[in-house]
Order: sequence, then structure tokens, then C-alpha cells
Amino acid sequence: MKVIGISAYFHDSSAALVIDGKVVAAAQEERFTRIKHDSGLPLQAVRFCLDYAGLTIDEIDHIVFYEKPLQRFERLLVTHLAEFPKGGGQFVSSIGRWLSRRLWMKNEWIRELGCRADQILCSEHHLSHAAAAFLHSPYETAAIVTADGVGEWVTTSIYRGITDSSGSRIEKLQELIFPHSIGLLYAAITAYLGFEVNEGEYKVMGLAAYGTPRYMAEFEKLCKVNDDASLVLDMDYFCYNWHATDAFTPALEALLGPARKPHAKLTLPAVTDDDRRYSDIAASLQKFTEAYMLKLVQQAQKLTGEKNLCLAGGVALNCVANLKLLSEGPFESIYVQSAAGDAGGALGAALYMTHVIGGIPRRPELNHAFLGAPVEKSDVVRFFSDCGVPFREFATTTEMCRAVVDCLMDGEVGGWVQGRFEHGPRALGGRSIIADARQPYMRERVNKKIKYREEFRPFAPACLAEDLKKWFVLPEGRVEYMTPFMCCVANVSEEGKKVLPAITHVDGTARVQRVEAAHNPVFHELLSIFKEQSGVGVLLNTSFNLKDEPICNSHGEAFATFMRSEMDFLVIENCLVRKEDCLRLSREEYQADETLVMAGRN
Amino acid sequence: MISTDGTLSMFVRVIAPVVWRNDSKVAAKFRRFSATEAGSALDMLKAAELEKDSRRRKLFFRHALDEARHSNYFRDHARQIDASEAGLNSRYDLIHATRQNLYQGLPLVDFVAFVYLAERRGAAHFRSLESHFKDRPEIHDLFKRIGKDENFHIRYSKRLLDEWTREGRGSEVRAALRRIRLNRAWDAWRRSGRQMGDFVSRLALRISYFVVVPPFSLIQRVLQPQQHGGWLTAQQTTSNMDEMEKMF
Repeated sequence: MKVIGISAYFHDSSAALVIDGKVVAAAQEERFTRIKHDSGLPLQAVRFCLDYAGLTIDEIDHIVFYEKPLQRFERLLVTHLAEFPKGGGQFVSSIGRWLSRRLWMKNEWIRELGCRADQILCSEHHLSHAAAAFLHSPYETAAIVTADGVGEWVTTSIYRGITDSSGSRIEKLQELIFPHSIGLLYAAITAYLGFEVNEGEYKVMGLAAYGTPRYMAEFEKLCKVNDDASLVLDMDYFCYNWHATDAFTPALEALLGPARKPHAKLTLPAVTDDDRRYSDIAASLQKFTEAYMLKLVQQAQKLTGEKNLCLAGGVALNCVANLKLLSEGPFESIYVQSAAGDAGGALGAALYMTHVIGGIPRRPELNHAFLGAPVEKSDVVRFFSDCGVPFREFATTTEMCRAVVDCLMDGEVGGWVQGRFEHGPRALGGRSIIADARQPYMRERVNKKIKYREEFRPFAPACLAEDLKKWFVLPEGRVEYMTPFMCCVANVSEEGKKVLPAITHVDGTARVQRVEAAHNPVFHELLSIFKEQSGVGVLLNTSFNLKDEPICNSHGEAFATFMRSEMDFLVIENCLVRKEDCLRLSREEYQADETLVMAGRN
Repeated sequence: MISTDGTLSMFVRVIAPVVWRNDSKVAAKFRRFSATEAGSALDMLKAAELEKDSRRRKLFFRHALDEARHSNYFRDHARQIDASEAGLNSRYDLIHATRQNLYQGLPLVDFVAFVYLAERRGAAHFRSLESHFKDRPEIHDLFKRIGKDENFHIRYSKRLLDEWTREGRGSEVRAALRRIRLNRAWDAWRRSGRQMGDFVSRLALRISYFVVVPPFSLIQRVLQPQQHGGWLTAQQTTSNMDEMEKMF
């Protein structure tokens, strides 16, 4: 059975191809269009999936949308009816979008994808999340918790996933509905703190470490959490359900003080009262979220009696909260897949159709995230040769890794492009920027001059699996499925804090990636050779992009990003390019050479 | 490839004293130019990545580097002219650029025709600005330097089109040039049509919001009291093929 899953029309559109239960390809549309969080129909991602498998759209059995669009539309209408006459602005913009496009989704798919109407199916938003987490996981039975902003109506849900001799099932047990949502609370406070919703949540998480949670009483006013982990937001403070652009009302500012203006200066550690207040509010939000998530998984355990948990939805990307669930939660083991947010919905929709509806037996868990488009070494060599870019080509990956380690040991920062790109928001050694984590200045350098982003944002470490315990402290026996995809933070060990300042956040944690030779051999080799020379099998690993841009896809995009930042080197497959050799390319005198124009064929 | 129609260069000259009336306006314009040039650089680099012919690939690559350099020139001048906090805050925006995916969206001949026509327009625009800023040597020189590169882009794209014409593909080249010119006009028409349509539909929706929604709102409030949170015991819905086929 060949199934394509699609998530679209909200944020992080993506497509995934599953053939007889094997995940063949999955990619976000933003990697192809270069539009961050692209929400359009993922045409290029679908095309990539088909091309990768050598299939045409006619050969696909089912194309599954990750939610029920008309249920979402119903929610919009009902909300506007309930909120009349406050929501005129949002009514005009959102109903306009629906009438002009989304209601005719099937027609658009038939026209743009060239598919047939009978191929198109629809899953449910949270069911897709649940399926992506469970049907990917190593568990035969598990509790599944999904929490995000909102799907059709549902904001949070608890399922039980079962695989037995009769097949796979996902049973829905309880759900919370809009507008009461931990994800929307986080999003509204993200907006209050001056960051962009669906983008700035990571920043709030980073900011939280600088603050003291002294606003817990205020958060309890904003959101009442019952003993059974249901929650009720006080909607006097929020307006995301009816306002066209704003997420919170003046009442929130009366409670917490004036909101931070987007792009306003923020110095950390805080020097002004306002900076201190913002970081304290972020810390309070984070603490509140952690406490809520803990209660939620306890409720899930109570309902299901399971010992394993699959976690999905945007809130599952809160890696700080995930540590809390690992260390204090009731589950023995937790699995979070690499694309836990909406991008993973496409994969979940395809997996649900395949295993639950289609009855195809599950495959072993997916233990890597390299499902995107590859770079071909021959293309890279031809590109650099034709364009006159000076580069070194190495015969083996070991030689290449040795040369890269030499650069890193000299304190250089470089781009690293190997194989297929990752599915999900994290760079895991397919499209990464790497640097020596031992250098104290490295964090500031990479933030300021390479990624051009806020100075307070932390960097993640990539660590050899065999060295994980030396540098990081994680709950014993529970980290196996969280660390390969950077889904939880770990406390940096005392030795680690001394040796690895560039990746140790101000609260002494790091969002660690465990690198195993079996799943990520070239990256593992790089870390091993770095360890040979430095004694440390850890590197700073951040996504290969600049601020507000999607992570690179192809070799040309990697080169463009490399040239626009202050990276020192770029390695693509076995080819190494150094910035100092490329500088002459940009010089006017070099460019003014017009011999090429004259060297026409005729 | 800053898109201003060559035929409007006179218009550019006439309105320049208003558009470029003070340093803050100049800096803001330069920042926009910088973003546009950076976007063009990304498009040309994508063309270089995907193009198979090594000579054209190298030309596109050089063109990309030119555009990137122009983007830096504009960015640096904007910083020099306007070092205020607003200018500094927008430094993040300066490295942020979007690609139009022109190479993927157009046949090769159309792509080169697009480059040729866009560069001609850009060169004409910059010539007008060069003459407007004759009393400010640093800006005058900036446009002059960029103009030199634009001329190179015009020459190479013209040369490619001429070569194809000599190879017997003249009608294809002429059709491509015609298509690109028409597309430009058609795009402008569509943009204005979209704006008009957007305005009308927004107006209609706004009216319907106050005319159609109130009675339904009243009914809804009577029939369905507001949710007060709390768990709902979920019912399994999408669990078979029939339900998968439904959009609701």
C-alpha cells in the first residue's frame, strides 16, 4: 500500500510517503520554497516524495490529509457566532481564506497534484499526531498524549495505542476542546513577550532560564488546572479566539504589566526592570507548563495503566518540560518523534491509514530522522568545479572528517551537509552548523555573527552515545528514545559545565543529541575523531540556517548561507570549501572579468 | 534586478526628489534594495545550482555573487547613512531574503529573457538615480559601480539570447521576450485585480457579518451554552474507510 500524508494550510506544511509501512520520505515544504513555516499546499514536498520513490501520483493508493477541514471550519463559525460582535476582523480574514481556497481543498489537490478525488482521505488532527508518535515508536502498547494549539476542535487528548495479533488500534479516551489549550496559553504569552507565535516558543524557553518564576499566582488566575488535568483559561485575558491579529487583551497587560514590543531590545542577564519582568514571566510560564504536562501524563497513566508514553503535538517540542516528564513522571519510557509538531501530522496521517485502516503490520521503530532530500556528491563536485569555487575533495569520509576536525580545533565554525536532510525542526547532523563546544566565546560568535539571532539563545550539543553519561545527567534508563532527536534537555554534569561552556545554558542544562554509529555513521565518525584529538566527543550543533530562514536543503542553498554568514568552512559530502579561498570570488575585479561572455560557443 | 520599468526612468527622475528627500528615506530605500538584491542573488544561485550547462552555470553563479555584493553595498551604505537604533535593529532583516524560484518556474529561454529585461530596467533605474545623486559622490559612485555590473548582466543575457537566435531558435527567443513583457503587465493587472477583489470581498464579508451572523449568533447562544472546559469523554470517529473519506 502506497500512502502519501499531507499537512497544510496552517503552518509547517509537509508531505510524507509510506510504502507498505516503510517511511520512504518526509519533508517540510519550507525546505523547498524557502518560506519559513510555509503553510501552502506542499506541492514540492509531494513531488520530492514521489521522485525519491520513482512513483507517479497515479500509483499512490491514498493521499491522506492530516485533519478534517470542515470540522475546523465549523469551529471557526461556531466561535464567531459565540463571540459576535467582537470578531469582525478575524471573520473577514479567516472566512475569506476559507471561501476562496480551503473549502475547495479537494479541487485544488486534483488540479495541482494531478490526483483523483477517490484518492483523497482525511484523518483527524490529533489522531494524526497520535499515530505519528505511536506507530513510529518501539512500543506495542502505550499511552499517547497529544497537546498543541488547536486542531479541528481538540487542543489536548489522551489515547491508548495497541498493537496485537489483530493489528494496530488507537483508542481515543479523553479530549479538551478549544479555546482551553496549554499550547495556546504558551502561544499567547509568546506574543505578549514580543516573539512571533509558532516561531518564538523556543526563544521563550531559552529566556525562561534567565528568570525566576515569581508570577505563578498570576498564571493560576489565567488558567485553572483541575485535579484531573483538565484546564480552563480565563478568556477575559485572551482574544485569540476572535481577534484578527492579537492573542491577548489589555486585561493581561493589567495583570502582568505592559507587553514587550516585537524586536525591542532585550539584554540578558537582565539589566532593566522590564527585562527582568519578561524573563520572570517566561520562567513562570515554563514552570506552569511543566507542572501541567506532568499532571496531564499522570492522568494519561491513570486512564491507561500503561508504562510507556508517546508524546506528540507542538507542546511535545518543549524539551525542558520533557525532562520533567522523564524524571518525575509515572512512565518508564517516553517516545517523542523528530517532527512532533504539525509537520509530523503528514507522517501520522499516512501511518494511520497504512497500519490502522489498511491493516498493514507495523515495522520496527524509526530510529533516525533522515527522510528528506539527499545531496549527490557528483552534483556538488560539478557545481564547485563549474563555478570556480576552490574546494578539496577527499577520497574517504575519514580523511574528510580529519580535515574538518583540524578546522574545529583551530576554533573555526563550519557548515556540515551530509546525506538526506532531517524531518522535523532539529538539525541532527544532516544540515548542521558545527563548532567546538569547549570554547567559551563560541556561543556569542555563532549567535551574533553566524546565525544573526538573539544573544541569549542556547546551543545544543551533539554527543557520542558512549560518552553521554560522562557529560550529561539524565534519568537512568529512560533516555533511549528522547535523545536521538534532541527532544529533551539534560543537566550538564559538573565536569561538563567546566569543559563545555558553549553548550551549557545559564540554568546548567543542554538539549542534547545522542549520536549513534548505527544511525548516523559519518557524524559519529566526526565526533570520534574530534574526541581523539581533543578528548571530548561533543560538538556544538545548530541548524544550518540564518535567523528567520528555513534550514538548507541543497548544496547551492548551503553555499549561499555559508557565503552570507561568517562561517569559516563548509563541508558537503566529501568536499571542503574554506571561506578564505572564496573571498576573491566576491571581489569586483574578479567579477569584472568578462572572458566568459566572450567564450561563447559560436 | 530591482524592477522598475525602463520607460519610467523619466518618472523616476521626476519623483526622486520626493522619494529620496532625506537621509532616513535614503537609508530605508537602500535597505529595501539590499533585500531585493539578496533575493535575486538567491534566485541566481539556485539557477547556477540547477543549470547543467557549465558556461551558463558559471555566468549565473557570477551574477549571483554580483547581486550579493550589491546587497552588501546597499546594506553598508544604509548603515552609514542611518546609524540610529531603528537602522541597527533592522540589521537582522538585511540578511533575510526570499527567493522567487524563477529558474524552476520558467523555461530556460524565458528565464534568460527575464534576466535580460529585468537587468535592463534595473540599469535604467540606477542611471536615473546616479544622475539624481550627482552632488553626493559616495551614492553617485555606488550606483555607478552597480551599473557596471548590471551592464555585464545585460550583455551576457543578450549574448545568450543572440546565440539561441543564431542557432535557429529566433522565434522561441522573440516569443519568450514577448511573454515576459506581457507577464509583467499581466502580473501588474492581476495584482491590482486581486487588491480590488480583496477589497470587495472584505466589504461583502464585513456587511454579511453584521447582517447574516446576528440571528444565527442568537440561536447558537440559546441552543448551545458556552463550553466551560473540562474533559470530554471522546468518541472514536475516524476508525474505518467510510469515515476517512469524510471531510467532516
